[in-house]
Amino acid sequence: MEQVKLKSLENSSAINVFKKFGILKIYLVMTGLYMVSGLIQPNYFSVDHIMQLLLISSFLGIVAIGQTLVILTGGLDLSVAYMLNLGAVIMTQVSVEHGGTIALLVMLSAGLVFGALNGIGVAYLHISPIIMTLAMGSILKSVTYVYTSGNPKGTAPEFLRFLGTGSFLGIKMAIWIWILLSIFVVVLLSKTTFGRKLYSIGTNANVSYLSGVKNNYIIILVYMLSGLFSVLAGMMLVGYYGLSYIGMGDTFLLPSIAAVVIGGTSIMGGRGGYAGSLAGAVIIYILMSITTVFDMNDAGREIIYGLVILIVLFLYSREANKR
Amino acid sequence: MNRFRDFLESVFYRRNKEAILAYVILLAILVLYSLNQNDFFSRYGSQSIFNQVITLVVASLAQTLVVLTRGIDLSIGAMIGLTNSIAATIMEPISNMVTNQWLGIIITIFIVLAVGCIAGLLNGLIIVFGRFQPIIVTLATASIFGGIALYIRPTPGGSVPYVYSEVLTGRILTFIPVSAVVLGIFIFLVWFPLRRSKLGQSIYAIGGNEYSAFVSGIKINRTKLWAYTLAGLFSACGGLLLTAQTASGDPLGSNLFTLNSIAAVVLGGTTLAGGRGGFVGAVAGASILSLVLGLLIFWGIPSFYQNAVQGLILLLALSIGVLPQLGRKLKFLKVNGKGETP
Repeated sequence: MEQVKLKSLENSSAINVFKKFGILKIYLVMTGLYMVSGLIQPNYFSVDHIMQLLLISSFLGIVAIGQTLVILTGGLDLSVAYMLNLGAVIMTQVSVEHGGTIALLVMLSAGLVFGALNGIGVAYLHISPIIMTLAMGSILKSVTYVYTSGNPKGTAPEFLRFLGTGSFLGIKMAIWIWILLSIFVVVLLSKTTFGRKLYSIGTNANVSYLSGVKNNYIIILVYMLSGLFSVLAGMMLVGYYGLSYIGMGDTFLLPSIAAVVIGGTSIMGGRGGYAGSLAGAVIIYILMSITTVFDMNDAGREIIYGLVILIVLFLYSREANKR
Repeated sequence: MNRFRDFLESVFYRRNKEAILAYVILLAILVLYSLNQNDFFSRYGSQSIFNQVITLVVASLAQTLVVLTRGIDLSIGAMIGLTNSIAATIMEPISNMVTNQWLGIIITIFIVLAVGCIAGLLNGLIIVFGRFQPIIVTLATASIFGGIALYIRPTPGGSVPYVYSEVLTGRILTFIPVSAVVLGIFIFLVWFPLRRSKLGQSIYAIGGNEYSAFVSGIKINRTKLWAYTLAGLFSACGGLLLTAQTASGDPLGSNLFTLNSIAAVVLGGTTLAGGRGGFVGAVAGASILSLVLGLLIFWGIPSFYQNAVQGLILLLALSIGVLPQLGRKLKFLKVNGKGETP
């Protein structure tokens, strides 16, 4: 049983963060894998490729922000896929009729409201997070289908096209947004009382409650944030593709969990942070880029993907032998 | 009245009281079916109903065993897809090779069941000896099994001998659906003996309190290995049944079974915290989830609403127990964070 400490005090310096969560190890794995991919395919050392890699990773990275927060409290969010999809279809369909600003507002409120429902189910109805978010995912799937009649209309508004494909100071806008959101969430986790409470719930919910943390409010907030980041990822994807389609989010569900776990966050909650998940998201796409070099089909990709998660687990996720 | 009290005190009731709500919902759905479907009481009606539910019921048995030990298996859909792909690919060649259809089918069934056991055992070995969280291990192995299934069958297709589908989805004695017989076998010849066996008791004990089980001399590791191996075996059974129904193989089409099996198990009153519940409730849970679509079709509601209805039923069933307490201030969080395996 590890002692319950004030996490934020240890987070006070960057070096301690590296020591504590073995973040360094994760970034070493990421760099090593990138080197391997570059040795296999020399083009991969180019700046263009790095940009492309980060751009592609940014969408998963944004989904993984919400997933990290939820997993840190000891929960899990299986509704991210259709939350993302709903955000995307709202963005295109509403912006056609009422313009981009209204669409943005509707989309953000949808993410927050459905996220809050997740949180209420987990906190007040005592439904386990897996089941609550699984059911919410099903409901959102239907909502998305009914809202679009299975065939989303509309295209990305102008400002989104810029966010999805434009550049600023030579770096893609999507990457900038990812960087900003990442800074926001790292500060949120390490410098605010909200972040400290979040860790304390993940470490031991009862102790946290008895220390005066309003667990239920924090949990509802966390799921709201998860919904928010999922719809934001959907919005960015709309900007990137220029349109929305049904099933957009399906490829993000399990990778978002994998990115968090590869990033060294404990699936039981209480240990970890977003800096690792960020690297986890990039690692996943580096692996995909390696499989494209070998001209692998989906079969090889799936197998490698599973094996890498297992290898990463062996590297730094073993529990202590209780007996 | 006395009879009723005796029933309430009976072991069967005490063991399965969590399942009652699921059976009430199932009964309501079946009543609605009989009102809407004219041939409900005919042999075809019952045949189609049992054929609809059987695969998910068997997948739920696999999930039940794992959930009872406080684990969770996200690779069940992938194992069903893998065994389904293998069966649809090798059944006919083997039948042609041994020049006897029945022998070929039996050999194939044995191979497929062995593959399921190996896959499940692999899950168990990694979880038990690697000491990792089941949820993330089975997430990874699901990818691996799915990849292998894609190697065996890159695109959906394949075929099985006509007689295989005909027998498993047909009827015996002209009015008993074979699926119903299979269901009965799984409940009475697999689940009840298993529940009473030493292994079954150990599975419940581990889910109830792993430490107490350990100091009582229960072999934790061996029991968990058995639970995951059996989950693989029953997933393979599910794959064989699915093969009979679709008469083809689909490597990734079975992924729905993973989450649906979890939903069915929970709907049937089994808690993810382990140690409470069982297969009896999961049968009702799986039936509810499978039959809802049929009701929507009768009422002319677009199938778009199917997922929402399934989700809402799940949430309502789980909230009913909590609603009376909502007014009171809850002292401790039983579920959030540490109370349950996430």
